[in-house]
Amino acid sequence: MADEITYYAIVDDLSSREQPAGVLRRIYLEAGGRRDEAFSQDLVWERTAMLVSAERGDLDNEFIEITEDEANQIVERIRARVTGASST
Amino acid sequence: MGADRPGDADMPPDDHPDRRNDRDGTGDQAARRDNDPAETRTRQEYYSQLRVTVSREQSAVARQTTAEERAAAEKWHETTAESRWIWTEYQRKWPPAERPVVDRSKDPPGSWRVDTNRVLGVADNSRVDAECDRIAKREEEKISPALRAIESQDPDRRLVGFEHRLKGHDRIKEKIYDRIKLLNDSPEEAVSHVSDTIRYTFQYRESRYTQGVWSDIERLKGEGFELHKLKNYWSDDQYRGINSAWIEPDSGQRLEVQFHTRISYEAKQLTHTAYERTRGKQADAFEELVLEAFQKKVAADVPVPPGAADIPDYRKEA
Repeated sequence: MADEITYYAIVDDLSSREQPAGVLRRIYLEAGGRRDEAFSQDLVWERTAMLVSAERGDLDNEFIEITEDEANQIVERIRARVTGASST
Repeated sequence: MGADRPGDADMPPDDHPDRRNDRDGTGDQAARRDNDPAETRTRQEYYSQLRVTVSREQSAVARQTTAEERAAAEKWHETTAESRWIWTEYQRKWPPAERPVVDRSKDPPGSWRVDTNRVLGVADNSRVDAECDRIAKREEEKISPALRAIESQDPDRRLVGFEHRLKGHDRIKEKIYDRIKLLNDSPEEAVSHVSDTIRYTFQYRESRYTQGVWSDIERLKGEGFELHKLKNYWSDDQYRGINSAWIEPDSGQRLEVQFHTRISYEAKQLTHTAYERTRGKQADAFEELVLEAFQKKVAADVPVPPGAADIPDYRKEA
């Protein structure tokens, strides 16, 4: 069985589900355990504890479950902003 | 409608038609005399006996509450002993001393590093430190005095962990690194978005928790703080309590207020190291599973105060 992935839009005070501040994915590893990663300004997926913190009472961000397609759109938007390319 | 208690402003006056002082047989009272048992007590006797009855009922409720709270405390005492043993076993398997030390020998003076990847350069680190100093000033001059004033309004609960009200710079910088790197914030924006650079915790008895939280929310508003967000974790599996984010309107400074019982606060303390270890991203998958299971076990043992789970979440619209 392959790893299973759940995607989340990261929403803070100045953003929304439609225009989220970032995107996070929680990977449930086939071998057991899980791994959280967010798409960074370096255009790579980086490990993060933001969702773990939210589950423990941290109020900085909301995490809204989204589809893989929605996650890809956020990734492309970040990529376009960082590289200066237009996003369609 | 509440009971008519002695001393209430709406205690019926002596000339009220229900008063048995109306003994001359006139008016409606006379018409009802045939159906109702006659009230032979004077006003003073009536209220004296009412006072005794109410007092007995209140004592019975208090005894029951105390017994329930004592039972919960005893159960918690037993389960924490078990949880502490589990944590000791965890530390035997994963001794903290064996963890790799972060190499900062090549970092320029004035920079910050928490692990291999998470670094703030000298300029960003300096800007963050300056902002933290400004936050500490706001806390000392305005916010903590207001919270102490609120605390003084009810002797039945108190602020706990007050000495930890300012978050450590390292933890603030971890959050700021994430915001800069993952959410495209500037250092100043990142600091302003952290909701718990200043944090207070109110601790209540289980039986007074729900009403106490509502009252303190109103008191905070009365002191001018704006409620920004409130999240109820009493039904969650890793953490129990209510956390709320507020804004001090003059400075725009954010602060967090947590609402706990003694047991939920102790549970938070008991699992804090496990949470920090998970957050540190150095544990392997198996260790993370053990850490998560430990936090869930402790949280499951925390009794939920009556009505606490019904306090609704709140988020102020942007």
